[in-house]
Amino acid sequence: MTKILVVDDSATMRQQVRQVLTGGGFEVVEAVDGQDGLAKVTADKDVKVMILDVNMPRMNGIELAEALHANGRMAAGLNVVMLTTEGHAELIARAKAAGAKGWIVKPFKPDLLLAAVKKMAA
Amino acid sequence: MTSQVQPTPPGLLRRIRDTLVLPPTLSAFEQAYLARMNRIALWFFWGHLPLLTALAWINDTGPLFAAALTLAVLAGPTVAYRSLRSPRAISMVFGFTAMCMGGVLVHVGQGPVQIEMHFYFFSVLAMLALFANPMVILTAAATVSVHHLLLWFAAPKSVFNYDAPLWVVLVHAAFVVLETIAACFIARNFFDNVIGLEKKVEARTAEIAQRNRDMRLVLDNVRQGFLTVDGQCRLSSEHSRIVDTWFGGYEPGETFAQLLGRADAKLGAWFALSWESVTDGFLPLELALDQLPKRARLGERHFAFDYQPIGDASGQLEKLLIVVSDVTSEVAKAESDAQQREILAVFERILNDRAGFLEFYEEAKRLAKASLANPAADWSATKRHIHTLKGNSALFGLEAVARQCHAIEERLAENDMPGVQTELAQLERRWNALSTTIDHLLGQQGQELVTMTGEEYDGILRAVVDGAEHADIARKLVDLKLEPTEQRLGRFAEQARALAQRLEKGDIEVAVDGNGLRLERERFADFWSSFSHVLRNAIDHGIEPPAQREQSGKPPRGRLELRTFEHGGEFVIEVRDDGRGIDWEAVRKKAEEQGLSAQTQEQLREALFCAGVSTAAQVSEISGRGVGLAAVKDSCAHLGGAIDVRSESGRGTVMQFRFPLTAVATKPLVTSSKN
Repeated sequence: MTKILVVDDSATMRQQVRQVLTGGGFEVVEAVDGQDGLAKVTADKDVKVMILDVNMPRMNGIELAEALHANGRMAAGLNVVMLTTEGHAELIARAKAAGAKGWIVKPFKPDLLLAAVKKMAA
Repeated sequence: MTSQVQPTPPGLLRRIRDTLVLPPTLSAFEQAYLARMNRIALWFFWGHLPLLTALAWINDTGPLFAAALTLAVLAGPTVAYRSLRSPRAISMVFGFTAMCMGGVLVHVGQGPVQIEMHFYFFSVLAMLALFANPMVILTAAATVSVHHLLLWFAAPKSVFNYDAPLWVVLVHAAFVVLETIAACFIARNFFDNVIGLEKKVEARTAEIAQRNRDMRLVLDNVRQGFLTVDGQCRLSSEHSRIVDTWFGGYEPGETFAQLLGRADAKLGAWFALSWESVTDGFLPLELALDQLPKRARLGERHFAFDYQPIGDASGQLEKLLIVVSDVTSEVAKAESDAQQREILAVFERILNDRAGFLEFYEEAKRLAKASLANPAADWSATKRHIHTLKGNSALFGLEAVARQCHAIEERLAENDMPGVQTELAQLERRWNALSTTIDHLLGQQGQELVTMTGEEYDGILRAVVDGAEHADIARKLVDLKLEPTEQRLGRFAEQARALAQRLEKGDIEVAVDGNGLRLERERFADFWSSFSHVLRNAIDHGIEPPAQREQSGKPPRGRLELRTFEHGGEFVIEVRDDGRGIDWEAVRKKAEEQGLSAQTQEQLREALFCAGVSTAAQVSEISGRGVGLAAVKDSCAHLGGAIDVRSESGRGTVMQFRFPLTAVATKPLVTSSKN
């Protein structure tokens, strides 16, 4: 089973994403902030896709993306998708510059989120 | 028997005629071509004058006579060239001229090479096919036949250098006929496939132009803007004119994002970014298209965008059709409907619960005044006021006011100060209009009324008649001005149900139990006003949507309990929900983010009620900005109360607001009608 890491400080959001992805046959690992996410993705080489919230305590999503870009993990085949609210163009531009493949606007449509993750994991 | 009507094929003569005679209209191309050919032909034949004169001089056949004869022949085409309007007619004169020139040549070429001079006729006859007109060749053939026969009779020396019999003349004629047939065929084909091609193209172009005009007519006269962009997001030049009116003129080669960006930089940037997702192919196309901006507001106008991908054979996105609609009037209608609903809600409230509404209204007036009079004086106060006004308005059904407050909060969150001012001005307009209506509905400046039921009235009357103690009668009268908590909680219950519907939490169950307790209305006004935040939190963050509840093995309907009771010398107001419980982990993160220590459970509870700590995943119109619970804590503390929170992950939350009876119940603040 393909492993997906969901990094979001909101338990609700993590739960919603988990529900959609496990329903689609993925294995979901959760992290509660950027540092936790960095630790988990570094420890687990099987993570194929990372779904990343932008605003998080300790280390935000952009900083985490930048760290993974710098340490070569993205080049090694990790796909990063940002979760964000509509309208924050400059944040997304920064995340994309750091190598994030795409972004999904909250509140997301479950079927479209699943389709995106399937495409990224393929 | 069946018979079928077959179109009769045209007869041979008709076909020959149709081949020889060209269609009457001339295309611009033929006109230009013949004008050029006629001019060349005129030069060509005038070039004969020195040549023929020289030949006659060398051949000793009279140069002057030769020159005179040539000039006589040249007179015809020269006059025709100047005077005839039809280029085809001029060409036919050249057909005649060519043969006459041949006659002059054979005449002045008398001697040993006279027969060879006849080659001229055959070469020139072939050259005449250049006029792309069989009639020119026929004219020439007729001219040469008549001319040859006549001269053979009248002046045989002019034609032959020996005594040629009639059959020789006929042999010459047979060759002319052969060449004429071939030359006519070539001329007609030349006309059809080269000269006439232009005409076909012209007809097709005209047809397309007509279609384009029809299309333009449609594009320019519908109230929607249609436009297409290519894979690079570049606008195609064919688009509805109204698009230029809405977004300003379009510059060739620019992208749709640039066009939008000139009208609104943020919108342009957002479009450009979402377009990248459409083209970079990382996300599914459907998702990427779904994330393109759907609504935009430019000045006073509102627009809706719809996108239709146009794929090539392999399913790759080739073009995107964008349909822009001006939805200003729909938005205005929705707004006016919301305002109507607001007035209805107000009316209903005043009828059902005048006291409750008055309380809300007095506070709302104060908040509106405080936030609108000089918002810039203290932004954090303004923010708080707007937030409370939003929450209260939502609970009392003032949707448009609540939405407008939300818009202000959004702008504040983005630090968009000009935007804040615009939205504040809009709130002021709406609030002024609404409060005029409300004042009108309330009549006498909304003075407090004491209401009593018939039963209560009978009770007091009986006490007076029975000669009860004055203190007892006074107590019954005081009770009338105290508010039964059950009535208050009932009001909250109703609002909670409506809120749950709006937040898609389903039809929740709300149980109310006041235990017959009453509270002084004015003294608890602030607390009750902030109490609505607790309800909003319980519904928005606590109670899960029905589907999610079922997955966790809970009954699909969420449950909320609102109670007041006395316990251990305390007056308790309790809110209990069976939602997902408080996400203490998230509270800890938020608290640390705010620089608060959050190690012990006590500190976490403390943090929950601090301004700026919100665990909402998403800021909504209802809650999520971390302002609400801080207000509850303040008003509770103000009355000498304490807050107790118990929450179990996945099971629910209980919040208790405890007030010492001694502090609240300086008689008869709290009375129990049970006693």
